[in-house]
Amino acid sequence: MKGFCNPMEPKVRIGGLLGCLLMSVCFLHGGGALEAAESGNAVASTEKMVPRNHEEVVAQINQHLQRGYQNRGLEPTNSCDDRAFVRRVYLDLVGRIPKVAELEKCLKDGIETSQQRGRLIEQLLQSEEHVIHWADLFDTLLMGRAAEAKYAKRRQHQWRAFLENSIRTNQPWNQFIEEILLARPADETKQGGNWFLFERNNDHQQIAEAIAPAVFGIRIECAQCHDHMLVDEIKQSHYWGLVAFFNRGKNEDGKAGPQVMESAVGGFSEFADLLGDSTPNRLAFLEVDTVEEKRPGKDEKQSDEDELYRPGRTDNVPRVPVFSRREKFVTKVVRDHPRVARALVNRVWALLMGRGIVHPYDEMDSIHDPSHPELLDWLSQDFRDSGYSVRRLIRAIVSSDAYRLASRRPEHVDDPATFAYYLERSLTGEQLARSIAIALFGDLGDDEVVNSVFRQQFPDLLPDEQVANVKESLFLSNGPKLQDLLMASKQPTHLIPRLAGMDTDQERVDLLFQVMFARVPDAEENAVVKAYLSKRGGTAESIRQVAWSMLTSAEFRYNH
Amino acid sequence: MKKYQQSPSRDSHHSRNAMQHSCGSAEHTVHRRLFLQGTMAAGAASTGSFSGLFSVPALADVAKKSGKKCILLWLCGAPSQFETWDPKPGTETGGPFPAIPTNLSGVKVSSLMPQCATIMDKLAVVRSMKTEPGEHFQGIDVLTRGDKPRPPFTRPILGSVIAQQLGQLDSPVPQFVLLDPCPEGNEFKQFKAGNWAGWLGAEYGPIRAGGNYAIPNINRLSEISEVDHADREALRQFLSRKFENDQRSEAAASHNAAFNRVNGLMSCAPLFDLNQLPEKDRQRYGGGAFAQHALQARHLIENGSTFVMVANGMPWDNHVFQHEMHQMLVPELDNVLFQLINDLEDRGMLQDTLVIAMGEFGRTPWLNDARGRDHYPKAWSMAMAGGGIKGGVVHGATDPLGFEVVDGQVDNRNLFATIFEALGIDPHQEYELPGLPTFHRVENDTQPIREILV
Amino acid sequence: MEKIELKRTKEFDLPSGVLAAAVSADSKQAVVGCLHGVYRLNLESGEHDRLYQHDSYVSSVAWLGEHRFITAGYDGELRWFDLATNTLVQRQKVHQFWSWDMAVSPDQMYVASVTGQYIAGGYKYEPQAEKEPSIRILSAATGELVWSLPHVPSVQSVAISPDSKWVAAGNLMGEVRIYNLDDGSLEAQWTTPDFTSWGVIKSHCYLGGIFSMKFSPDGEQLLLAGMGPMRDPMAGNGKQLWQRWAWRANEPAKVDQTHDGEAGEGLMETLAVHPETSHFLMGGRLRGGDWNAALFDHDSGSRLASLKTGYRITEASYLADGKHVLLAGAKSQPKKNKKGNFNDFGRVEVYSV
Repeated sequence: MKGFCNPMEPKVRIGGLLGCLLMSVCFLHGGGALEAAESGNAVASTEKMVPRNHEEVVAQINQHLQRGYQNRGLEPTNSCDDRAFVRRVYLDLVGRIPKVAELEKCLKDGIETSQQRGRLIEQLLQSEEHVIHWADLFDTLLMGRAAEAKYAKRRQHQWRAFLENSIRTNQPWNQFIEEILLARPADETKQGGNWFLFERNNDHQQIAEAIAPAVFGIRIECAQCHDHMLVDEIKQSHYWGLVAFFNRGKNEDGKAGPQVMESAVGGFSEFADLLGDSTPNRLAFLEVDTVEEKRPGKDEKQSDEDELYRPGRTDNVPRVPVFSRREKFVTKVVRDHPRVARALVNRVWALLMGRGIVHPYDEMDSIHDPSHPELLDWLSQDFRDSGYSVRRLIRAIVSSDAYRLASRRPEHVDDPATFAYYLERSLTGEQLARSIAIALFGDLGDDEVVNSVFRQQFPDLLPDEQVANVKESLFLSNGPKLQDLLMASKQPTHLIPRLAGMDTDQERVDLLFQVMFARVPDAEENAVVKAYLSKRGGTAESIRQVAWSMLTSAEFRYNH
Repeated sequence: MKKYQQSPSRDSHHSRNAMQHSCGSAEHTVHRRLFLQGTMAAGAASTGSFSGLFSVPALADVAKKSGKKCILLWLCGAPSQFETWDPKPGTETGGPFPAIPTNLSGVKVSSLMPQCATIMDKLAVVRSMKTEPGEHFQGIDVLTRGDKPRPPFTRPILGSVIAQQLGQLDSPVPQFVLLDPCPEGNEFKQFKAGNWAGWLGAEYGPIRAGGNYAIPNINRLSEISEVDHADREALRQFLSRKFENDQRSEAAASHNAAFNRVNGLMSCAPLFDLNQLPEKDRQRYGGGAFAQHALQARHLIENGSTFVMVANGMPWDNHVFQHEMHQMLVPELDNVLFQLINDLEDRGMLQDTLVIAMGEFGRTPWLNDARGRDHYPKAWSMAMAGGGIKGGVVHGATDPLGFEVVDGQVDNRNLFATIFEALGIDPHQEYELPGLPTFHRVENDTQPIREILV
Repeated sequence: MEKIELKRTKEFDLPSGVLAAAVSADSKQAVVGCLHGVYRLNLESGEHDRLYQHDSYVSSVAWLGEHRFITAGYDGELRWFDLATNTLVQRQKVHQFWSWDMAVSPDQMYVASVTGQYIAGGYKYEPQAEKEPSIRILSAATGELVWSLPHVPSVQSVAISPDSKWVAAGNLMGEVRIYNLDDGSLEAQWTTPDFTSWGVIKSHCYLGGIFSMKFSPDGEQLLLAGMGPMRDPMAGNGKQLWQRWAWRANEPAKVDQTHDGEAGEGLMETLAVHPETSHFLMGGRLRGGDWNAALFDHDSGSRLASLKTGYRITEASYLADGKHVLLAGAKSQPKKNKKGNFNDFGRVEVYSV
């Protein structure tokens, strides 16, 4: 049951398999049925260790949000309709719109009850497409957008495989984080795990500035030259402390492939503030004790002796310092740090709900209050108790009432932080590319080729505000890529030829709306589009124009 | 055993909720973007003549608004007032550059500005700016929007307000342009990624150009005829507008606004090509990117744009190498202002074009450890010329060392009131937007600086 | 292995930041160039008095014999002062812009001063060509102009070889030109980009350059000092950098530079070469790392000793006995009381075999 039990958690009183069953929330394939940890007496640990079952988590989310509505004196809007729900959940869980056949099947099987929805959710969560989509998301969040050459390297050096595998097995988040920060792959299958550090190319400041949001949900760039001017708890010593944990690292690319070596000496310096006062860079970070370390005296030269190292695993793998700063960071700072769970919970919430409980999602500091602080606290604790299970968290959020709300903003509500309506957001570049492929070809096809253009053109993920820019519309209007895709829709099973082969314009309109918007047109739309086609004799070119206008419309562009 | 020190607990409920209280205008059913669209909303509401939507009508001869225009030379990073408008030579903190007399008796500027010294009769200088934020992002925010933020509402940038008030809605030329070739810039980079048009809506956001920021995909593909290009866009517009209205979708509004600009942009592609500018002019303004874009700003204004903001990253933030940088930056600014103001005057455009030169605060009187000056919002200077501004006036004064304002203290609200008034826009008008609590262009009835208004 | 320690023996405060200093031959007093004047400092008693002022910062001072010295300033002037008569003997406006740096030849015949205002010359802010000759060589005795030599602004440092035959000038872009003092001909020219930054992050222009230069005792090599390149020059975090160049060869070649791990970050503004023993000192600002002054072995380039002074060093020079070095510089200028800190030196050499 790899991935179901968190090996980091202390052992529960009940032994063996039964204990594991009770500890975990069940991840049985295709099932909505869940074991309830009703036999509380057997799992009587003194810590709040009992993982709650799925229904309880969902109920807590619903209750906390409900309380939020009451406190603000408002009602949430109505639920969205079934088709909207199916489109939404496909986009969020597998990164694309549903195919017409998939949508019809959902409606036929029924989607009104929570069990029915639970089955669909489970099916999507267990799919390989889910792995790919969430690897796209986390790759962007952890490594950032980059030029295509870098994406190629991420694949070549197994980072992508590492990330996908972690998601596929629902590896506990804390374990994943520790692995990429320690960057000492246990075996060849984990080789890609050191790419998080390696890609940053020995730029230790860049590493620190990447770790702060990715792991702890805060930004520390402003604390480079002085204590953070606005956020009291972020100090200059934290910035340089975080750098110090990693500044003994050095990339090497030899027989064992890319490795991030670590020296046992060096990395001592001072940092100056704007007044010129300088301070030594201790191994410090927020909310933990400084890690003690012997500093060399003035003019004392450190020599890089062999005794300072433990032998390497093999000849090819670099040796590891006896006192490893990176290891200390993992064991003394990251392990059990409360911000780790909070940051992940907030981020996943933002991905699924359109906005973090703290917004912006990576500025979880004292000047950014959570909209629902108790909910965040509860979910974070539950996330830890569950063994940092990301899939469980996703499952709970998409099963909540708020996830199912309509996206039409109600009249009396202005503030997105209320979660009183579903927050629309633009598709990522990859989601857009895949959805266009589904629409035009009925299937995914050559993912990489399509994605690479769209992820460069539409790089945003979790922006602070949904603001479209003119570059996008120019790309869609005049860029060659979309036009190429429209022209490539020419096999008999593809959309354009299918439409061209139909007898009546009405049939064409019906299929177009099914494919593009997952619905039927209203009377006005029906008339307008039909007229457009009739005027032009239903040629392939005119069909492509209609397809274009729908692919580039707001309704397609957004998750709503 | 490690311990976790808790961050100070936050007063979780009240501070934020107080700001999020909606204005409770339940009776407003009209989507808050609709009223801004004017004639363009007709397509969404009517179910009548569809055919009219599908061909490009001949562009009606829209009467050109004879409104004013504005060029903002955005000196991001914050220039030193001691090396520009308010020199204190011979003092312990004045720096190494002497002051020179100008064509205004009794008024001196830094020796780094010899050309502006000859046209001080056309400039208005404010030496008594005192503002609050001393950090870049907040400073940029306050000095480009005019007031402090009040989340979740985003006050529009000056350029967006002016584009909305004075811009020509049907002009193909973007009404608000940001020329800044620098893709980085720390706080300014972060700021550039934010929402500039705020509650006015994305169509009043800037087009960004300059350097490698050419406008990509600005030419129609050869595979598509002009008519087809227009027709499919009209259909897209119809479907999207409907969605926007039915859903009350702000994201869709932003999306549609962006598309609305495509045609216009396509037709004015040459305006964004520096090589199209006359070589003599380019040499006159100077070789640096900032100077070249200032010339381009003049060109854009001449051709129908309403507000152009010229920047070049944040070069003025000289915590290190203050004098080494300012020795190069100030003469460039000096020449740019000189050329720009004279050019506008030659073309008969000066009384209708407001030129503003400022940063987000000033710099410290004293030098720091690293040959630099740090941030100083307590007393700083800026300058303006042209439309609605009375030249030859120096407003306000600082003490002999430049530590405090001693006369004529003004802040961002006074400044913005002055700018609006100079451009013929009512500074104290309330924004009438459904769903928006009470906001004025300039809050608290703060008055403009009368002395420098015509 | 020689073990060298730097121990402070004297310290003095001056009212304004020090940009230049020079010690008299008898090591009893020093002339100090501050932001706001030229001071005479008695090294034994610590008394100081201001002799006169330039119209702007004083950038360099140099002795001319036992009781005369020359100062140069950002007002572009050179001034000669005689301590015996306590009078300003001569003043001459040598440049329209600043004198960035000035040096007197060891044979006391020439004084060299360099200038240059960095002006935007191109889209990427390459410097514009000079508007006045960047290098002026004058007769030290009479002040008569001997040579006007060209360079590219801003020319920030100058040095004259120990045999008084060559003058070297280094600029913002890392270009070094060496001229023959006898006939004004250009002898060597090369560019090292390692001291210059183009501000990718905030400021799309050039910053840095060579801030100090010194010839080696045999005149065959030239030391340069400054700061390593940065993406964001406003961070001031370029490597504390020196380079040593063999300039006599047909193709001047870099012989050595700061060794890895021996330097932190910060602008280095001064070099001083010990006249007899083969080492030199470099000083400047501590921005990161643990020293702002360090001694280096002239041949191997290894760091021998380092020192953290707590203020930015602008000038270093050895005393005549070779056993002491004078360090001078400036602290940050706080609100009301400004202090330039004239700190001392005292170098005690301990040799252990």
